[in-house]
Amino acid sequence: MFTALVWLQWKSSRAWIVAAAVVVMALPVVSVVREWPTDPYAMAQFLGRLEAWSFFYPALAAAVGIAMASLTWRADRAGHFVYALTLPIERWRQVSYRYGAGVLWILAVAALLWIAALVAVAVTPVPASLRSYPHGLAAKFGLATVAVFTIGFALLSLPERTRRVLATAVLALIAVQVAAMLAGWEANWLLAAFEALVGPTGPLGMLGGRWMLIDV
Amino acid sequence: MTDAIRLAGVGYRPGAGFAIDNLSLAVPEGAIYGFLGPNGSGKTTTIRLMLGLLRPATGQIAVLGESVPDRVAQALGRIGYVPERPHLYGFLTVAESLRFHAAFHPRWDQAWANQLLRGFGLALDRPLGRLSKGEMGKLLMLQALCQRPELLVLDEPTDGLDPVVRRELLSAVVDYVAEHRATVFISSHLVHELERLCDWVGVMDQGTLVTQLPMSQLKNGIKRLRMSGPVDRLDGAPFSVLSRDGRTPGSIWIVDRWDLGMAGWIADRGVRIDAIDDLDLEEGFVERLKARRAGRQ
Repeated sequence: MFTALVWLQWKSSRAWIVAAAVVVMALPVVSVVREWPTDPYAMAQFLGRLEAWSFFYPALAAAVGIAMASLTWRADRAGHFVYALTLPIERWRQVSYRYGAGVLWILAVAALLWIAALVAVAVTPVPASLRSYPHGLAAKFGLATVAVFTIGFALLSLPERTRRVLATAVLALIAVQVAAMLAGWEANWLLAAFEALVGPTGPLGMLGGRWMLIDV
Repeated sequence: MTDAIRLAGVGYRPGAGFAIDNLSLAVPEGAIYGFLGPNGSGKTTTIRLMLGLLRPATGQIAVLGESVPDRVAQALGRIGYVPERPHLYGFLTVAESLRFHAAFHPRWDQAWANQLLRGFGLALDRPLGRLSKGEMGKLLMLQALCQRPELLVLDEPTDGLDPVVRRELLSAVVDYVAEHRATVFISSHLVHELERLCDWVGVMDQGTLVTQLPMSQLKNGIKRLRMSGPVDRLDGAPFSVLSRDGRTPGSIWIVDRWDLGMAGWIADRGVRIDAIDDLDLEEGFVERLKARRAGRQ
């Protein structure tokens, strides 16, 4: 059953998986090879330019995580979950398998990034003053994508009515915040909530920080 | 004889208005049970309750001996289900959909699936999103049958299909039942279709089970009586009167729970029976619903 669900996840999201695979395999190699300085004393500029490229890793992690989560249940939502719920498998098991299938494909993409990162640093004469982080970069990419996927998967697994209530609550919170700001009240709990989500200790904290393949 | 499906005092209210109210229903093992009712009468809701897709507010449901919804996964492994609306994944091809479905059903019969594929004329490489309504109906039936279920639950399986496809699908069901003695629960508003197929009938209306009895009893128990004479002497008759029409020279009554001995009871009151006509299932179904809605039954 798990194999069938892994395969179903592939069929439903293969366009994203293939596109992500191409990008993660190209990104480390292209960024390093393209920005590698001809002048061995221009490493600081190289790192600056590489840092600009590093923005793509968390962006890609977020995009892949959201896409995989939304594609996991999309076909079921169209059929009002009738087929999924009439398969002879306990619901908790099916949800776990669906989640596991998504994580498996994300890890496959992260593995490709790891290989590409290894290749990129292998073909680059990294000076002793700098260090390469292919394992860390791939692991961080994998974990960040899984974190985004997990949150998206959990939200999209909720019943339609619950999601509507949640969305309404968020919109109401924003409206109250705007009203409070207009009234001159300085408390900003939206910012606090955002920081709790994406701050260093938040569930999406992985998306922050440095995403450098080669760094000091 | 045990029951393949048993609902006892089931209540369900999705919102304001429609409700399933104190529904008790029993489908004997091996029966072909026709579940009749007008659109919106609660047939699909009842099926969804039976399959654990909805949770009843009150009452108990047991399907193939398994309590639903608590042990619905165990029951679903033995149930073939054809829903009212197609629900399969449109991005799969026919072959892929079969392979996926088979992965969840250990008793999947691939040889028979191949045979039905040829018989139904389904191309393996066709994406499900491009199948016609008839082709989708065939695929759903094929999937339900080839998992070798003990119980087939068919929710309007032939609704909107042309007569040729309808006949093909129902033939496949009949062949399966003849070979495997499975129970069939088939919901439809196409009464004639069920008349040929079913040996038990349940009639739903406005969320309530109006009647439930063997087909032979349903068909033989309901009659159209053409009578002349003082029909007002027939008060307290041992049969139910569904409708009476006295505008014609004679009186025409539609009666239920009829048996032959009742002709003597009528004659004893000086009323002459000119004719006793059988009603087909559709006429009987309509008369029962009309009588119920008029509060006569």
